[in-house]
Amino acid sequence: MTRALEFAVSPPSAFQTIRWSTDDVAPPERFDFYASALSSAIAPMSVERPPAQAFSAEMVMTDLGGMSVVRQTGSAHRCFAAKDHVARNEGEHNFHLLVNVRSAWDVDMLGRVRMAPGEVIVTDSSMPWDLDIATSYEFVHLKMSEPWLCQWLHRPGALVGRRIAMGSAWGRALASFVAPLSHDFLEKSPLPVSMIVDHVGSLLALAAQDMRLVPDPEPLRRSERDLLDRIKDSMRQLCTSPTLTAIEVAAAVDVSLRTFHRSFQRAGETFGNTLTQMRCVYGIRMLESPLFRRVGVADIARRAGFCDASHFSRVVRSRTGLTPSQIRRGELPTRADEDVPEDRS
Amino acid sequence: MTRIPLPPTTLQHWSTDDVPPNQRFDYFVDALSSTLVPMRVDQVVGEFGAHMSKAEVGPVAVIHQQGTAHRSFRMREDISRSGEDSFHLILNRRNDWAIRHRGDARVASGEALIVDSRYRYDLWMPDGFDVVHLKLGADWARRWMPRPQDLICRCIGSGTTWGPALASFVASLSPGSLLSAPVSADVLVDQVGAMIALIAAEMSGSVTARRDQALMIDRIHDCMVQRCGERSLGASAIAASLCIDENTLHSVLAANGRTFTGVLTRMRLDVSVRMLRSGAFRDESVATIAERAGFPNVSALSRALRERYGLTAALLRLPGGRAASRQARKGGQFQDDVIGLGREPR
Repeated sequence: MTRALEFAVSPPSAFQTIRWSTDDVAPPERFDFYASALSSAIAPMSVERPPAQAFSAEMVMTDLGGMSVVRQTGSAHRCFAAKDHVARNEGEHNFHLLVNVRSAWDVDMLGRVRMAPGEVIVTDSSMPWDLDIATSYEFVHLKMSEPWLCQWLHRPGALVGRRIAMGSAWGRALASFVAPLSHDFLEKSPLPVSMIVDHVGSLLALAAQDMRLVPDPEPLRRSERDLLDRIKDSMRQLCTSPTLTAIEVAAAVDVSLRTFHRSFQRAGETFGNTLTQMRCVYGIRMLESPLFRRVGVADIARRAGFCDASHFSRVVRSRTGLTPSQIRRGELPTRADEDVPEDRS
Repeated sequence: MTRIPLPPTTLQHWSTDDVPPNQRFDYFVDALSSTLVPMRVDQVVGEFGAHMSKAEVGPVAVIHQQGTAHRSFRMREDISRSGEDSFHLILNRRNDWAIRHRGDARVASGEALIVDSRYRYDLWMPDGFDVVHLKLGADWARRWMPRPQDLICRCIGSGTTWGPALASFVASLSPGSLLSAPVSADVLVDQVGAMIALIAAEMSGSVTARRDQALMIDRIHDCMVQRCGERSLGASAIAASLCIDENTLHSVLAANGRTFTGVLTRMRLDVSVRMLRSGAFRDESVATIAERAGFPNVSALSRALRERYGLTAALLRLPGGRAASRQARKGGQFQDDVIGLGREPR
């Protein structure tokens, strides 16, 4: 087996590439070869095959940096990682995007899912999984590093173990983009690889939105949009008055208080929040302006419409992570993150 | 100080429901001519109804059209009169349609076809059409397709490698979704460009062996951009990834007038900007975004933002937390206010 695990790394390629095939070894050894090759290239796992069938498998794995593109073809088998396999997968946390472009298959991760040919699913290397591939297959498999995926998806975990249906608009776009990816394509790609990789990230984000994993806002009607625009225009003129109330603004645009509030509600906003944001924008503008250099922070707070300086500081700090005086100095201390909430979920 | 590309700020609508029945046809022909290219439309007998919406992102306009069957055309005299240099990618999601342009084409539903406005066309849209129409600025389009003639008036869909990817991507676009997407509109539009480049290379049959000549600097860039989210990413990790010596990496960067840290910070900044402007991250704190982008802390991100754009992270974000994308669709006025804040460097 030692020979089998010395993967061929083809030097002329622009990428680190691993290729192997069960053709490289004698038929009786093929299955064991495959099992250990897969475990070391992808993640620790167990492999089973249907008895008394010829076994074959091939893999080309292209390492692009944060993502590897793997193409696998072969005959029926089952592979799985139980809890103890997962525990051995030290340190490396990856997500895997899987598409079988040739046949239907089953996957069990947080529940059993039947996958049609060409459909996409994302799995997580830190959870047990079980793939049952009943016929010969051709997989496109993207191994994605956690830091990379986290830059595209707010919560990658929400996508894990869920079939991305071809019926959903972006699901289809994702599947049809991923299906042709291969080592040969990447070697000759007319586009920079970073662009291809970004495209995958963006399509994943869009597909997640399709699946309602990103809240999808209900569209506003034209009249509602127009009214909200008018309200905000009016607020922008009045917001520096510290005593401004909803009643005043509603009167200024000539709508009832009820319509006024409903208009914010429909857009998922509130009067109070919008007002604070506007005052904050004004305040920061003054802090940054050389014209206001001699004006105290308390005075700026008042001019922006805040009742007191401490409220102003709190708002500015919560929205920018900086204190008013830091904004004013325009120079940032290196340990400014001490009070910033770390709400990573 | 660099300016950040603005998200689309307007969503325009036209509907024949807005005008009396006897004016509907003319109203819509005007709308088509002013939105797309000056064109003529055959008088439709009987009831006519059509709806159109449009969002513009820099050189690209995404237009959605539905309505009654009609024939539209642009003859030599129209072209000489009105000029206009743009490309039009048309995809009907609902039914088959036909065009005579640089050849005859019958286009199946779900397939895309590109029209070059410098040549005449004669187009037939059947009843109940549901069209995504991308108007592509000529310069922008030529950036992605070096030989437009290979692509014009050819059905792009099944039967090619990248056709389905482009077609299903375009079919999913709508002016509204452009404004509420979890990636910002300029990123989406560039993705359309990238897909066009792939299909163009495929159809021209000139798949250049780009990789063989790929410059080491590009490979370094490609690798770094994927790994910049790793917090303690060092030059040695990138060098190992590329199977090169760490000294080689530094000297290649130096020869291009760059430093490892400089390039890394820039990439992390770009990624942060993308996340800050993304609906998908609207409920995430700036600190989390800084961390995901690979910055050691939030102040490193703030400093980089300030140096490059003269803005704070909060000002760059679509405001309103959960309401961010709605805000963006309704016009992103805060964004406008805020972009104007760019300070001159002291």
